[in-house]
Amino acid sequence: MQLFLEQVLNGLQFGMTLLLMASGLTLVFGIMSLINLAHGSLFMVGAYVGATIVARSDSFLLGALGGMAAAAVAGMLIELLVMRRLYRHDHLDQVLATFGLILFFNELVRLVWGRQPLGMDLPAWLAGSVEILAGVPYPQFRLAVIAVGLLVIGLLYLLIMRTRLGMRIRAGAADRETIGALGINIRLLYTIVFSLGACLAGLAGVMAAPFLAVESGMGENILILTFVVIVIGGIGSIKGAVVSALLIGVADTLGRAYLPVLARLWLDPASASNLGAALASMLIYLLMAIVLAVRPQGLFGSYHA
Amino acid sequence: MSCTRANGGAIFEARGLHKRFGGLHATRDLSLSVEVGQVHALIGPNGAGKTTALAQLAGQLRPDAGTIWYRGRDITALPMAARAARGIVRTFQITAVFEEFSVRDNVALAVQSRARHHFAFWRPAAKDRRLTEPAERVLEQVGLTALANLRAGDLSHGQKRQLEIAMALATEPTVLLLDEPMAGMSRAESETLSTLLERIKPAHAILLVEHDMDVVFRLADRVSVLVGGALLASGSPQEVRADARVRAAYLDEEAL
Amino acid sequence: MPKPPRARFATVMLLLLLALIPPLAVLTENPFLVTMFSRALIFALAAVALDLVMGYGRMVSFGHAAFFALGAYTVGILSTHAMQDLPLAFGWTGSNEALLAWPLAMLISGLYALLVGLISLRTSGVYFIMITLAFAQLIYFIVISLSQYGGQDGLALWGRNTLAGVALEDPISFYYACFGLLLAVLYLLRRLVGSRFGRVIEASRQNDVRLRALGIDPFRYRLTAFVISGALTGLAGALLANNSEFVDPTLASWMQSGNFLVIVLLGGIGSLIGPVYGALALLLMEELLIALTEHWQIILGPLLILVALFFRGGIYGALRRSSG
Repeated sequence: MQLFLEQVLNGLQFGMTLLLMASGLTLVFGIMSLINLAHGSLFMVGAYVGATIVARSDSFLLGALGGMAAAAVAGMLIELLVMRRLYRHDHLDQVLATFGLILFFNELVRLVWGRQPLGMDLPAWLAGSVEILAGVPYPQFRLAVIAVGLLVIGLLYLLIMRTRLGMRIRAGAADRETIGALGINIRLLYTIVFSLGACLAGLAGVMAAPFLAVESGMGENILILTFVVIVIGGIGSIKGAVVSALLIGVADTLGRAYLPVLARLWLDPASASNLGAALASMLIYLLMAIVLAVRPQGLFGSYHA
Repeated sequence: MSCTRANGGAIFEARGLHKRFGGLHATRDLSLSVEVGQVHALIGPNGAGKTTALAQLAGQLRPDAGTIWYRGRDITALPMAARAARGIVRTFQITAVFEEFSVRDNVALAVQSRARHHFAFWRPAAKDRRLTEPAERVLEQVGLTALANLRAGDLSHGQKRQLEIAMALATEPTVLLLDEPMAGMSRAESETLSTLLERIKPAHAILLVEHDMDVVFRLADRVSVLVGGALLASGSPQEVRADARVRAAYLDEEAL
Repeated sequence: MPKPPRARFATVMLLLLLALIPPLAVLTENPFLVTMFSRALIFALAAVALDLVMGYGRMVSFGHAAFFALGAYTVGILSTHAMQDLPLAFGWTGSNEALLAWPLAMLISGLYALLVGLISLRTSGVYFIMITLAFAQLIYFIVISLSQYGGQDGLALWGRNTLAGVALEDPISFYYACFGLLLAVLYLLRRLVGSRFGRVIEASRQNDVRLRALGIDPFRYRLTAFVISGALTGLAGALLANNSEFVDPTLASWMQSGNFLVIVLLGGIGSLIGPVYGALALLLMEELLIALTEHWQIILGPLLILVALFFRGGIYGALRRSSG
């Protein structure tokens, strides 16, 4: 039972990483109709800068802020130099260009930081465990990730639902042509949305760094999961991204924990762990296929995505 | 390919069509019929549901209630492609041609659509005389021969409309469902198209959705007036023109 | 529509150059050229197969790596069993004969393409991209779990196939086999695209509703094109297994699908010959830039961005336009 609770919490924590990535990506896709394969690179930039700052300054907070800022700046530069010209282009041109960005960033981090993966040590105040239930210790940092994720959900909610900027974002997601006609400064709006997404990706990177190897190419793995999350949730829908990210996070984690165990009922341990791992990896894609078969626009998507 | 039924009944008929979109009752108990050799015009103010009605007749939309009959058979469940294969062809309000193909290739594809299948992988379609010759005949009939080699996307609006009619004709249909074919055309282009429709009328059953009253009263044998999704009046052009309700609802705003 | 003269000339020159690579390699005493260009030809073949569905039917597949890997692993598995005399199924010990292995590779990839297409082709746009991706990921994870065939580390082949008795160990024979196949595929697909079938595929891309209004339901034709594309990609995979004498799960990765996509876009989508330009350009750029700096991707990346921004229709598109 304790193990199950731990796994659920792990799943939520993973889901938070996915959520931070997915909310930015779904906004960009929903409002600007832009396919951005380089979103994972922003994750990577956040992780690298965050890890470096933490190593130098021993302050996690500073690292987090630094990672977010670096990703936001990188995002802004990308938007101004590349994305801006791509909005009216075919989706395929966007795929080609952002693929080029992936190559660029992967090589850039190798240039600056070398080929050895970075690690990130947790500061003492985050490294311990907390008893969530009597006799059940759980890593503090993972709880922190969940907390940060909830905070971000809350802030995003406030932003999208309660501010003028949020209103414009919602309007943009609903009807791209009209917001232009309303005289809202589209260019500025797009830059803000893109940079916001980049900032969240950077934060995701910093928070995921202690669990992953910070190395060139780390963005691609999370990117593909992020795309699955937003397709399941519905492109352009923040609510969809939240629900879907948490769902996928928990499903994936529980799958990895229990499918190999389940397989051992029928197979020998070696084959079981093999099959289990394979099934666990496939699980979210199967989930996506099922969701799309039943509801092609995703759980909360609208038809015109 | 044309035929009139021995008992003189309508070859194409809709009975009691209903269609709702959420709270909007777009089609209410609509019944109409078209016979071969006849032009049946469907008129009505904007938003009356003419295009919705046409979409149901063509098979693009499924009615919530009611039936559609063709040659005495219930075809309500048939999708658009199947209806087109049986000879019920529609044109679109927003011009829809294959922009990258040449004018000739557009019509050739329409000719090709008569074939039972298209799993022919080898012979170049451009050199297939069974496609190009009928295509060129239709182009001549419609008056587009001079433009045959042009890219369809480069045509003027009126020419694209003509091309659409050509494509419809190339499929050797029995029933033509025309959605505002004259929209956006110059006087001369309208004239050409009207003459063409008069020429092909004897062999086809034509349902014409149209705003241009001159065209309607010139071509139509029967006129039905659609207001708010329901049929207000139906009869010969003279009867409809004289009908007081129709005048009140609609015709007074149009120049007669 | 007639092909512009400069583009046609360039293509003839390109094919001529490719035909002369082996003699050139011998002359310049650079045998590695042959293996390198074989690889380019193989990727060109896969990209041409993708262009059939992407360029003509607008079926943007992010899962073609699955077919590539299936083809490659078919050859790898058959070869491994044959060389070690291990029974594979029903007492059969596999085969090292290309005339058996390569068609089988195409059959298996084609069948998977049938499955993928049946389910995915009901969708379009970004959903199609994601579903094809998901299907490729399935293959990726299955292949990784095949520990008896190397799993994550991959499987080394004991040697290349024999083609009707001719051992393909000789790089030059193998090169011409690849070149011959590429030419044959280019010719066959060109005819396919110009045929009635091709017209339906192109029309389904330009205006799906209009095509249905004509009475043609494009589904089974698009599915057929997708299966053909998958099978040809499987053939490319079989060739790759021979070229590198090694297969591993990365052949099925989504980055590999992305590679194919990039080659098509770089070379010129919807032209069939464009992807050949694309494969060669990418190969050459990699080799040239590697000579300049080990950080060549930092230059290649921005180059791709520039192509996306300013060269609509890729390399071949630019050639076509420059003819006026």
